[in-house]
Parts: sequence; structure tokens; C-alpha cells
Amino acid sequence: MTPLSRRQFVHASLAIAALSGGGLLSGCGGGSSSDNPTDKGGANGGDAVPAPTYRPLENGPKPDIAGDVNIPDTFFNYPSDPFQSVTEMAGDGKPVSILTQTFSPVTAQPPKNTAWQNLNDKIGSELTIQQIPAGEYSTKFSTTLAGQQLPDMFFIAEVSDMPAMVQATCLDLSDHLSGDAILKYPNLAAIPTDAWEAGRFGGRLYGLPSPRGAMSSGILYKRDDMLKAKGIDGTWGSFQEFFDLAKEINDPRGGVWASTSVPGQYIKNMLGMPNFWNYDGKTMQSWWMVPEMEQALEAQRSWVEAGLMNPDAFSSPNTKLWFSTGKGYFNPDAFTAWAQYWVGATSGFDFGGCEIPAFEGGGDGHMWVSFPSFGRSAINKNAGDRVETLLKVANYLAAPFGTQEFLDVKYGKEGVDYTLNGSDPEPTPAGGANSQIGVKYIVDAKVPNYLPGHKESAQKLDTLIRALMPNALYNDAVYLYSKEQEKNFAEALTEFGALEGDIVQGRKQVSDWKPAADKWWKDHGQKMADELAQAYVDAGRKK
Amino acid sequence: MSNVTPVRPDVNAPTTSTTRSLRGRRRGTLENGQQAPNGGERLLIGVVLAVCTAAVMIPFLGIISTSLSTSEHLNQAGGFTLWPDGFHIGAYVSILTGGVVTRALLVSIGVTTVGTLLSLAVSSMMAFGLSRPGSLLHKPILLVLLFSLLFSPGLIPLYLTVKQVGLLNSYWSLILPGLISAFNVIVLRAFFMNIPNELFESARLDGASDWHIFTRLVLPLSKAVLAVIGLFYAVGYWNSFFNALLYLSDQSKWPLTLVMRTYVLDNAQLSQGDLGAAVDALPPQPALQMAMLIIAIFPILCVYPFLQKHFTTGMLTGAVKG
Repeated sequence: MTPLSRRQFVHASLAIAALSGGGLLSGCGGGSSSDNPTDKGGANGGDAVPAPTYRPLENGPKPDIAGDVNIPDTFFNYPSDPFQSVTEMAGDGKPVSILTQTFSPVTAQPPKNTAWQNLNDKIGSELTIQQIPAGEYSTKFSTTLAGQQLPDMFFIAEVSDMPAMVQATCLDLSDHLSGDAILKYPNLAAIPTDAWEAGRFGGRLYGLPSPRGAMSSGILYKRDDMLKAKGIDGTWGSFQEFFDLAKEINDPRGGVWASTSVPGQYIKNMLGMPNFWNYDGKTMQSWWMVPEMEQALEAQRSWVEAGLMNPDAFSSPNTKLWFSTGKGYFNPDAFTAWAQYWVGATSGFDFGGCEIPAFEGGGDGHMWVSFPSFGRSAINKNAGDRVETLLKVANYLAAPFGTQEFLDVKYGKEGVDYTLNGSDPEPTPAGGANSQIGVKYIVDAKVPNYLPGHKESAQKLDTLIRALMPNALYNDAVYLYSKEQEKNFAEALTEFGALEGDIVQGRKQVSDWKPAADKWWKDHGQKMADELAQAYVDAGRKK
Repeated sequence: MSNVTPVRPDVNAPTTSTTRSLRGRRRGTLENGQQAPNGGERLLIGVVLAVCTAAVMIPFLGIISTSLSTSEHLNQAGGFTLWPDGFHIGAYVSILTGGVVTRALLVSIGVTTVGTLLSLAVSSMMAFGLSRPGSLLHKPILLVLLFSLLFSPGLIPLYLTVKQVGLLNSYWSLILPGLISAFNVIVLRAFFMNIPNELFESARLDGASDWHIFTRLVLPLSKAVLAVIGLFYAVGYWNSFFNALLYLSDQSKWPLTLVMRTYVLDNAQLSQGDLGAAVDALPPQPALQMAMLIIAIFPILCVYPFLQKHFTTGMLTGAVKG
């Protein structure tokens, strides 16, 4: 047993700081704010390098409905002759160790896991992947960091003092990815530019993104088949009309409620409230401080009071199942869930997403666009001698839809993990589990709109997202850094969430909100907003 | 040493006395002179007990029923049912044929068996030493033990220690960091201190060494408390998942509870978590999750009835008199 070295002590200190202050933000979709991506020579030093050039695959498959940077490409079928986006072996024959999180049951190991084994064979290096349950990832990451046991590539957990941790631990990829340098890795170059900001610290590029953006934005789903059976077209022009419709279809005695849970975000979208932070030209405006917040609380409270959602919504929510099995007409969820609702769907099942009118009518509401990337991963500083190999591996894992590599990464081995129905891959029972090895949180391709066998539904999704995006609101503080926010935002998020729950469920009054919000603004919010506004200007962002 | 016959100490005296007293009391009157409950009161007590029992058993019944149900039935029931629509063992078959769970089950059984035996051996030896007043440094050692009961070293220092001694990614990392529970040692010590000193003196007169006294006299007299402490250790090892999460990088070495966690708990987050590309597989059926729970608790349920009879003697004697 040897004594701790100075380096080990520094890592342990970082890890303890991570354990004490990080993690709380991890539920915010990765990258809520605790980094310093656009700091141009600020506290972390260094000029900002140009963002990686965005260039979709030149010879890639042509979508049935072309999207853009924000709108996903729509494919009705998988290309019958998948494009080969990687022509040379990515790996160098040596193992590549990976630490990632997973929301799925842990998979078998190769060679029993044929999908994983197939990926190893195709990449040319053995991927030794640690898949950690997402709920425990922060703890695992912190202890692994402290013990200097981080592998070659790892998903970065939300930790406090992120810039210091990243710069001490992760490899600076700027020279390999900035500007046109990324074109050496064409699949990585097909990742939209804004997603790369998730991995920018001190102006330099350290992180690999998993792009999400519009496709992981929250919407309100509706059961079109159930509404149609009642002779309802499923559109409304204001909250009052929506509320009246919900009361009309609500049937607690029959075990069918208007909604699976309180559609809080949908109501806030109707009111046009900021998506966390809104830059108004001078300072940042917080959603907690706007007057519409009390209106949103009152509307949610009235929803609960009228009993319009499943009574178990607060205690043991199982909203996906309730929605799928017809126990609720409306269900808040993200666009990414669209495909899941079709799996195992019974005959006649149909659904769509709700458009967002203004709360008082006479206009449009505003969807909140989700984070551009689901967090970020990095390459270990100690693996610098293999950086090109590791980026080639990342390039393979980021293969876009329509390529052979996408099938390898997402589906596994043909004939074993998936079979082809026409040109569409259909996972076998084993393959569906085998392919969930968590590499999509290391780096990922842009999410497509692909619903094999459900062409009309894919068109419906495309129509809805095109209708919502022009009015959608972005979080203006995304990937901006504020010391005050790093220290106090997570706690405020918890406290305001609890207060909102109390008010909505009738344990506290709507009037209790403003004093709490004013106090927070005085204690922390104002400073937070000022710091974020300065960071916004420093980053050269414009509205 | 052969003539040292294990003699049961007077640890059962209160129980025996109570039994005699109960036999001798007047009908309708309790030992302390209070009136026995009448029919109505007994009915009320019965109802309360029945409600309490139902509160425990109904969720358990639900877990079993859900694990044996079909997807259609569960969808109709909202994901959880108290009565299955047949006897479908598909969930168990798919879990046990997957390879991951069966391997994890073997790991859990191995770690629990080895860990419990080692913990019992080390804890009982430590407790015996601490129970004898003449042992070298027994008071400072006892203080250190009590200190560890009140203050934990913290996650990072513990991880670094495990790393420094080369236990990372080893099964021993699941056993050695929790080899001794201060609470269990104190319970054992209290029990050992209740063994009459005359027995030790008699053994010494017969020429028995400390080791012989411990193995031939103390342990045979302490079967009850050893059974209980053994169960505590076994349940602790069986339920433990955190050490495996921290110390094992090879997930083929994961014990059942950690694998189960990914099946049961993390999937509960699917509605809130990121589900990524449109090709994600469906979450496991509730039947699969409940089957995992049954598989995880079944071994402990099997052991419990055999040790239950020792509970009163083992726990109360050690704890109350200590």
C-alpha cells in the first residue's frame, strides 16, 4: 500500500467536490449549466477555437422528407443498400475502455452478446464497456475520478467546478475537431454545431456530444383514436377550451382520465414562459420570476382540483403505460418517445402531438427546445497517444441513420440481433437487449424521424415539429457559465419544484410563490442573471 | 478438554420463568394482574393484526401475481395485478436463460456464503477477545470499534483504500470492506459476556487454552446468537450492491442485486430519462421486473424460517443484558 501522491490528492479533492455539489443537475438532460463553454479567455484562459464544421454526409442516404439543423430527417424505410460511411478499420487492435451510463438493464458480455461482439469485430478493437445505472453514475464517476481509474473514453457526470475537472482530466480535442479539422471524421462532422458547445470549456473543445435538440423536446401527446371515437377533433384555441374538453372526456369511474399527469409544461408553453432563462437584451429573465408563473400554477391547481389526471400521477406515475393502454387521453412526454408508443401497439391505436395555442387564445404558444446534446463524453488525457484511434472509434459510433455502421451500433448483427423486414431492421428479442450497451451516451448521431411501418405517423411527427419549431423558445443560458448558478441553482431547482408541487396539489396557496421567488431573486437570482447575461455577451451570442 | 461438556447457560431463565407464570395465572387475568381482553377486544385486535398482515402480504401477492401474468392482462390492469390470468413462467424463463442473471445469482450466492462465514469467524473472535477483561488493549480496541459505529470514513477515502490494497475489480472488494460490523461485534460481545465465568474457570482447570475455550465452549453455547448475526451478515451481503458498483469494472462480476437494480429501478426513469434514438427496445415488462424481485428475495426467504427460532434468544439476550 503506497501513500497518496499529490496528483492523487488533487483528483480525490475534485471527486469529493463532485460528490458534494454535482449530480443534482444530472436530471436536467445533461449540461444544464455547470460548464464554461464559451469563455473567451476568462477564468479558464485561452481563446475560443472555432466550432467544428457541420457537414452532413455527402453521399449519405436521401431522406423521404429532408430536415435541417433543427428538424430531423424523415425516413419511411431504412435504405435497402446502406451507405458505408467508414471504409477503413477504426480500431488499432488494442482494447478501448469506456465508462458510460445506461437507462436499460445491463447486457450480457461478448461473445454471448452478439451485438457487442459484432461491434468489436467491425471496429477492430475490443470495447470494454462499463455500463453504470444512470441513477448511480455520478457516484461511480466521482470515485473513479478520485482513484484515477477513468478509462479511455467516458461520459462526464455533472460535477461542480466542471471546467477545472475537465481541464485536469480530459484531452483537449480542439486541434482535431475545430473548424475543418473535423472533416477527417465525416460522421462526427454530421453532428450539428450547437451540440458541440456542450463540450467546450475555456474556449477549447474537450467533449463529444450526443445530439438531441428539438427531437427530445417535451410535447403533449394525445390519443387520436380515443378522441376520434368520441367525435372530438383534438384541437383547441385556448387553455379554457382545452380545460373544458378535458372535463368532457374525463371518466374516472371508467378508469380513463383526461391526462396521465398534470400537463404543467404544456400550460407554461401556452403562456409563453421562458425556457429556464431568456435574454431580454440586457439581462437574463428567469421563468420563476415572470408573472405568468402564478397563472401557470393556478391553471395546474385547477386541473388537479377538477381531478383531470390519474390519481396516482403524483405517487406512482406510470404514464407511458397509462397512455399506451388508453387510461389517459393526454400524456406529457418527449418527441423521442414517439417510436416507443408504436412498439407493441394494438390494431386501431393512433396518437399524435398537440399544437400549442396561446393561453388566452388568439395566437401561438411556444414549445421549449431541449438541450442540444445529452451531456458530453471525453477522452482521457492519459490516452493522448491514441487520440486519432479513439476519434475514429467515436466516428464509427456516431454513424448517421442510413449507414451500415448505424445498423451495427444500434441493432447489432444481422440475422442474430435483427432481421430485415423488407429493408427495415427488426430487433430480435435478444438483439433488442444486446444492443443497449450505452455507447449512445459516448457519442451519437442526430436523431432521425424513423417509424418503420408507420408512414402516416412519421408524417404527423414531421408536420408537428415543423409547426412548433418556428415559435419555439431556447434556453438562452444553455452551456453558459455562472459561478453563482453552479453554487445555488440546483438547490433552487429542488426547492421551487417542491413548492410548485405543494401549490398544485393544494397544500400551499398560489400566493406563496411570489414571496419565495422574490427572496430567491434577492439572494441569488439577480447575481445569477447578471453573470449569465455577461457570459451571453462575452460568448458573442445574439438573438 | 474432552470432559468439558457444553452446558447451556442460564440465558433462558427469564423465558422459563415467564412460561411458568403464565401457566399459573388465573383464567381471564394476565400475569401483571390486568384483565385479559374480552371477545370484542380480541376481535378488534384480530382485525388490526389482519390489516397489518394484509398490508405486508398484499404487495407481496401482487409481486408474485404480476410476475406470472401476461402482457395483455398487465396492460388491462395498469401494470400491476393482484391475481394472475394463469400461470405463465415466461418472465422467469427469459431471465434465467439470458445468462446475465444466472451468473449474477451465482456471484451473489458465492459472495454471501464466503462473506458470511468469514464475517462470523472474524467477528466472533473479535467479540470473544473484547469480552474477556484481561485481553490485551481490549478497551482501546473497543473504543475504536465504537468510533467506527458512529463515523464512517467516507466514500472517496474508502475507494482509495480499496484501490491501494489492490482489491479493485476483485470479488474480495465485495467482502473485505464490510467484513466486520461493529454493531454485530457488540451484540456478540454482550452475549459472550453473559456466559458464566465459572465455565471458563472450569475449562482452564482442565487445561483448555483460549482457542479451545473459544471453539469448544463458547461457540457451541452461542449457536442462537451466531445464527442471528449470521443472518444479519448474510442479508447484508445479499442486499449489497453499492460496493460492486464502485469497485467492480467488469460487470460480469456484478452480484444479483446490482443487476436487478438495472432491471427494476432504472427502467422506472425511462419516462423521464433520455431514450435516445428511435430504435430503443421497449422497457422490460412489469412481469420481468417482478420476477427479478422474486428471484432476488427467494434465497433469503428460504433461509429465514430455519433461523427464526433463534431470533428471540439470540437478539434479546445479547442486546438487553449487554
